[in-house]
Amino acid sequence: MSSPAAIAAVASLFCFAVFLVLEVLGNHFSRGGTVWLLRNAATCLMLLLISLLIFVPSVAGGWGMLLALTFGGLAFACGFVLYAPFLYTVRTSLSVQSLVVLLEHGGQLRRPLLVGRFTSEDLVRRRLVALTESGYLTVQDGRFVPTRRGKAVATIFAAIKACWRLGPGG
Amino acid sequence: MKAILLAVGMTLLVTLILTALFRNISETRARNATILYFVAAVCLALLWDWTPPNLGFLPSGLVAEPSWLDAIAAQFFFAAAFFGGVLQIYNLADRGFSLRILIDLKEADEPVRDARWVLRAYSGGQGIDWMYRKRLSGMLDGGFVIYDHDLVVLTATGRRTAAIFKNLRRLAKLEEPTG
Repeated sequence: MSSPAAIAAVASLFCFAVFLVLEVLGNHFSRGGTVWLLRNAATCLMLLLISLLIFVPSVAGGWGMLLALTFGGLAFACGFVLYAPFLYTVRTSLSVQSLVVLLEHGGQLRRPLLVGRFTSEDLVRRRLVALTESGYLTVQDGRFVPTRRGKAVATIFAAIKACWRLGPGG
Repeated sequence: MKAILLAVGMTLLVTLILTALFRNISETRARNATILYFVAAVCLALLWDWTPPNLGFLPSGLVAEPSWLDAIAAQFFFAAAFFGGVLQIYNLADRGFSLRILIDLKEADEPVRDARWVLRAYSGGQGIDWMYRKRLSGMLDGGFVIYDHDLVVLTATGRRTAAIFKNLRRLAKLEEPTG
């Protein structure tokens, strides 16, 4: 293995495997969550970059180091963008949760009961609290109000929806 | 570096084509997007094969070796950009529950904005019931459930899928699903 790209590929695979193990352990033994996810990713990315800085110079010069850093960093980032949506589907998807609820009730449930469970005020309140804890909303005089960050995200996605003519959606 | 440049170029091209498709065809968007991905992946493979390793301008130090690794990397980078990037943005924009709540709150001009308001005003006034009917419709179309009078019943596919996700949720020590 004497090429910067090959070293970067192996190193990024290893560091991503470490990331996944830490994710499983973090989610199993604590609450996991977005902060853990981002800290975990940053730590493993740092581990990757340090590995490349140690191993690549023995086989390649300046351009080779640039190739290794770009190749390896991008490979890790690609793994992350494939993993994160999967994680959030498991955690928050209403369709996934509906299937699990049906399974736990012997594979079937009366439609009004299922609908009532996933259209409750409690459901919405918990989402509002989650959005507040993530910094997208704040509470003012008992009202939920978007923060600057929340407004930016809402504006960007509203523009995407308009560009793609998606309608209100949701 | 060739893999990265070709994957980025293909992703940008596919995003433009997808935008044109989405603006003109409102049905089966996700299916059309997936078909486009496979066509683009084949085009990417052909483009990789037809172009020189240095794309005619890269310094030799930026040419990734072995070449088969570069070819695989091009497909991996493109797949991640498409499925983890473009398609995820589409899913969020079209179906994101929390995102829709955020957009509703930003666009609202009413003084009372709490959980009860969201139930009624969700998705530009369509309401939370509409949201869940859309989810049920998706599960029905995907073959995960069927209706038996007023019962919602898991199919065999639904059971297998539910079992997988139940185990994943248990591994992550998530509470019993309530939304």
